[in-house]
Amino acid sequence: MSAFIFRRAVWLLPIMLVVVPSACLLLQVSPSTLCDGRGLVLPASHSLFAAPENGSGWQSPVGNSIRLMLVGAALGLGLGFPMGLLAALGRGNWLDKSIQALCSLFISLPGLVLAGLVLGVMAWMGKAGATPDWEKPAAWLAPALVTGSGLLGFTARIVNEALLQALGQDYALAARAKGLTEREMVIRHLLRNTWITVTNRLTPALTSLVLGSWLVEAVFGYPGMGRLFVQAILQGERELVWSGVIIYAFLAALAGLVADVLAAALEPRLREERQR
Amino acid sequence: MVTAENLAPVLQVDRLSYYIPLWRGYLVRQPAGALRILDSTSFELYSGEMLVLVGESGSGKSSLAKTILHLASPGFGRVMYRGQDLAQLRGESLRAVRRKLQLVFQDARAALNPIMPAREVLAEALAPGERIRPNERILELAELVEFSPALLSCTPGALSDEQCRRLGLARALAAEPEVIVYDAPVRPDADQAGLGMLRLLRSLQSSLSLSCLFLDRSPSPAYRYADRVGVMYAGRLIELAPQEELSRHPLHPYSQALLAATPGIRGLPGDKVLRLPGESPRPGNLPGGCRFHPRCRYVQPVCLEADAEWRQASPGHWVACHMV
Repeated sequence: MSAFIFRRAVWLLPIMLVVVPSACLLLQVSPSTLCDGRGLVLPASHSLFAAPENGSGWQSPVGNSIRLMLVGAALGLGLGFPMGLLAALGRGNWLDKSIQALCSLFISLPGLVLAGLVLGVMAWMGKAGATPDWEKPAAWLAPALVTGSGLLGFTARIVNEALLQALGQDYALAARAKGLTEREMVIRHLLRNTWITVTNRLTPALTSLVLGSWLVEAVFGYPGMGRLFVQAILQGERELVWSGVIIYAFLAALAGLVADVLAAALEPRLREERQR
Repeated sequence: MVTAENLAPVLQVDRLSYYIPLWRGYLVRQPAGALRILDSTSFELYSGEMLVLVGESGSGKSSLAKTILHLASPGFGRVMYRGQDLAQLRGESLRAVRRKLQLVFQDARAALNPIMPAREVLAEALAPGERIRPNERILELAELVEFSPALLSCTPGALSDEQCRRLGLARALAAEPEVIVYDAPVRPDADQAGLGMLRLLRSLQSSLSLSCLFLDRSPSPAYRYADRVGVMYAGRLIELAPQEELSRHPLHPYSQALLAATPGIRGLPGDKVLRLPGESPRPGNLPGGCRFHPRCRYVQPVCLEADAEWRQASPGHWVACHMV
């Protein structure tokens, strides 16, 4: 397994070798400033990696962003899986229908729009306005949920689809014929197979989670690199934009790696095929 | 063999039907008939018996197997196991009865969880009392069906079709059933493999006192090992008789044509192949009246009117035909 991870990680190098010069090239040909940056001023110290005083590296803008992505991914997978399960087991009932509708919404709405909607609802409920205290977990809920929403919808849908398909298979019937209860059958025979289907198709969803997060951060005013990145674009801070592009590209490539490793951990055949 | 001592039926199948309802309409759903996959099929399976049902692909054999085990719910009719109506059973009692009725699936590979090693497949099917010492019992089962113990750690992907089939049989035996429903595979070379499985089943049957319902497309391998043989056509059992009786006096015109077309079985006097016009009807558009009438040589007005009753033409020889 470690050999597989190493081999897969080596592939990050050529990806970065393409990303770094092309980002540089694009910045060279783009206009120097998009606007004069009125109303949006970069903080005096605007390093991507600078942690606040007495803070760890996880509290720097990059660290904050990574933490938000992780929480978003955990929420997306952790909520999406049971939601897909409930939808498949209650095939056709009101719960199934409402979960399906919610998933369509999450998949089709871009994070930017959803973030705006959520902020609007929060304002209407009187919960928005003042800068939230980002060290409290409750403040994270809204941005993390919006960041993970695409992944949530995607996971729920794939789980639902894979489980419905597996329920119709002869091996599900065979498990029933053995005298297993419905619950034993789902847990022992279907969940792991369903999870494999999810991890096998996870790469695009995880990368889009990474790449969608900066807009969500900017809308929520979350102290991650997304906010800095938007301000840097608007003020024409080339170095900052350049480093931002590289970091996002690296994180997206890393997300693909994580998805592949997850898939290979569950499915030994995948590992063997790639080693050959 | 069916003798006077073991005449208590293990399984009674009474006018069993399996319909898939069809709907039409864009906004309002309206019923639009049904696909009649399996229609009023009745027979009894006796203790220790080998009953072979033959029928073409699409004649309802697999649906019959799944409906008997209540893996698909029947539209009409009922299945009785030792006097218990399966439709009345719920929860634990249904699961207990299911273990007594085991199915070997037509597509053996699809019936195995693709990521579950053979050993676990068997371990899971073992009776609760045997899970204490599972390994011995698993090896015993593997030996019983001539499945190499070296393959026990393999997932289905590493097994051949034949090995999957033997594993499927071992899984069925692990539940210590009284009835094995064996759904023979659809494959060009199935006859030879089917013959091997029949021989194996026959030898297991006497040592484990099993009743066996063997579902096959072609009567030729079935004939050497069957106690009784039934013929299915377009979703219905149309004739059922002891093996010698059916070979000598097939009564239904379809059985006559089927047997005459099967090599190695004496057909009608003169051994002429009887050619049937047309094709087997699809379940969506079965002809009215007797489902065989468009292809029948003896067709009479009554055949277009009503489906034939299932009745005994002579003791133990059942048939559904107006003309007998």
